[in-house]
Amino acid sequence: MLFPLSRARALWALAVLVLCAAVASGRALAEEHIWIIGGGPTPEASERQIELNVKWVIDTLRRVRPDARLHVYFGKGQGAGSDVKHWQRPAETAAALQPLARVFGQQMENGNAYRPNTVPDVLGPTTKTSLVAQLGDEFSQLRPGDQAWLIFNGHGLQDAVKPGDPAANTLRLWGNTRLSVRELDTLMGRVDPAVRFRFIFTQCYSGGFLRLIRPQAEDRRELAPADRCGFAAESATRMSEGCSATLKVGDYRDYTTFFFAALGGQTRLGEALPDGVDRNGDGVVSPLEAHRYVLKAAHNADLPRSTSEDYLERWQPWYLRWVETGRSPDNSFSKLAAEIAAQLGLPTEDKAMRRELERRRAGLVRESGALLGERDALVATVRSRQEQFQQQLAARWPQLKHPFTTRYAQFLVSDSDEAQAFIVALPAYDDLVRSQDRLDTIELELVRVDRDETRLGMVLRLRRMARLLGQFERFASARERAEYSRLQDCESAPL
Amino acid sequence: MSRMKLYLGRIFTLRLVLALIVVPALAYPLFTTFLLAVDTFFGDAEALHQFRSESAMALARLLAADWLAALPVLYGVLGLAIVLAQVARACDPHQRSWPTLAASSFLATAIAVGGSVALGATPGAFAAAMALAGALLGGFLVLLLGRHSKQCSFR
Repeated sequence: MLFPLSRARALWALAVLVLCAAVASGRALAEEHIWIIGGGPTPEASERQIELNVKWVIDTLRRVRPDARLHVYFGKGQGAGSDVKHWQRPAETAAALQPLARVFGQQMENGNAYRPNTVPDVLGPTTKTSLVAQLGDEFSQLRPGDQAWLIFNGHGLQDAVKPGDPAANTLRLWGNTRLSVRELDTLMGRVDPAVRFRFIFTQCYSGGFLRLIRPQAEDRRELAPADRCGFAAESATRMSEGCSATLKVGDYRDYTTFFFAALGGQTRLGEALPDGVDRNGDGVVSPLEAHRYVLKAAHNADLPRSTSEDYLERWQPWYLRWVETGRSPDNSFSKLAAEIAAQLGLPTEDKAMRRELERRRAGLVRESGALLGERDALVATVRSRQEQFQQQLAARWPQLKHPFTTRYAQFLVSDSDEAQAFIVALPAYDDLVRSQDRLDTIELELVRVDRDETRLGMVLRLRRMARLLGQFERFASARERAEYSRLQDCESAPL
Repeated sequence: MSRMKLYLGRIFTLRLVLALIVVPALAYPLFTTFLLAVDTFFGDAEALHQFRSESAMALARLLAADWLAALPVLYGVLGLAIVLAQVARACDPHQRSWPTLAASSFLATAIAVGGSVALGATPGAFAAAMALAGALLGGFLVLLLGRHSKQCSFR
């Protein structure tokens, strides 16, 4: 009797072992692939911030997900030539040609420098034809159970002919090429539908790419069968926080900076994150929690959105629109709105808060109007001074009128010091410098006003999302609930 | 004389048909204007926020899409109001106007209250009431034209 029993036990043990091995091998086979695409369309529009963002994303991902396979495509790739622009304030000296640059309106460009990218392990350029071929090949190799991310860091455009069609929005790729939402949707069609595919788009008009969750990227309420979700730094109709060529990483306030800080557990400067990033307290910061952290912490000019938020906005039927907009039901969105309102020092009571929001917005609009008025007046003054100086210079050094000639090159070698001494000695030169510097300051102040106004807009947007979620919970059909839940699961699954 | 009557009858029939087509189509802009005013002065100014912070074109497209989506419902409401009015008139041996008005008003109130209960919202009642205003206006037009010409009568 003992023998048959032990044989049965052995068979059971064997079966369990086989099962465990199958599960383990299945897990081992499933891979996480992350595509990181970055850089601008030309060296002039490929700011250093983009390169630093991509490098930081790579560092963070290698730390958080060392087992993930990274596929990096950046600018011109690894070939010869420059694809990164960085800027440093030029010295106010004749050696730096800054007086001459000021007279000819190139005082900012005089600080530009170009060099090849230093992004590690770049597989190739982002030129459209090359990238489409590479991605198509790599996407078709994904197997059921694999997970994929596509992270884009660069510039985007609205379609000039169809600016109201979000699916016509494009990524600006190297060589001044473009890839539209529809083209990317077709490309992603090669991915097995059983693969969870997530994306992050941070460029201008990036909200158009949230259409990737719809069938053929069309304007439909329902979701495509593929398991896709993601995040965008802006709507389909707004520009995102500008890219900077500055070297000061601490100044960066873009979506990537905050999103990956939350996922990586530390800020860009290596500092600890504030409490509450892990909103559900499960010990892991999910992509959705990282997105919520961006909404709360990023004081910038962006109104970011996720695919589940986009789903709610597209779901809302006409008869629920503009109804009860003075209230905000108690849910995750209204909590976030209240937290941001508290950061901004807004009253908690609905009516008082609305009044204060409108008062502050009106103040910012007035400030912006005054700055724009001052800017226009200064631009006219600067132009007039520049024309006057250029005429005086051309009277003594006529070769200045013909750049890219031998005489001009000779001027730069032999006469530039004397010409610049002449410029600096002009009585109105100091006024030109002051006016140009003030114009730079005005641009920064306008960005600050835009950021402040966007933060007020963020409170209103989140209150609107809270109402939408409340309506959805009351009126959505079973199919719509299942679709929304699918998106939330996708956005909440750990990296 | 009979030619004149026929001519007048055709004009009134044309006006009736136009009224039936136009009134529900105008009802949506009417109640949306009302809701937007409530939103702007008593709410979060959601529409204004979308206009300023998102895109004026996107907002216009949204309103146009909503208008198209609302049309079948508004035409349905008008149809219901007309049927109810006709039933009320048919039941009245003296063929007076007030039963029709009462029936239309009852329908308006029923839909407004039902709408507000369903939406769980106070302005929702106004929305439904405003939608019904178009239907009521249509009812009035039917009554008005019905007095002038028998051809306009639904009987």
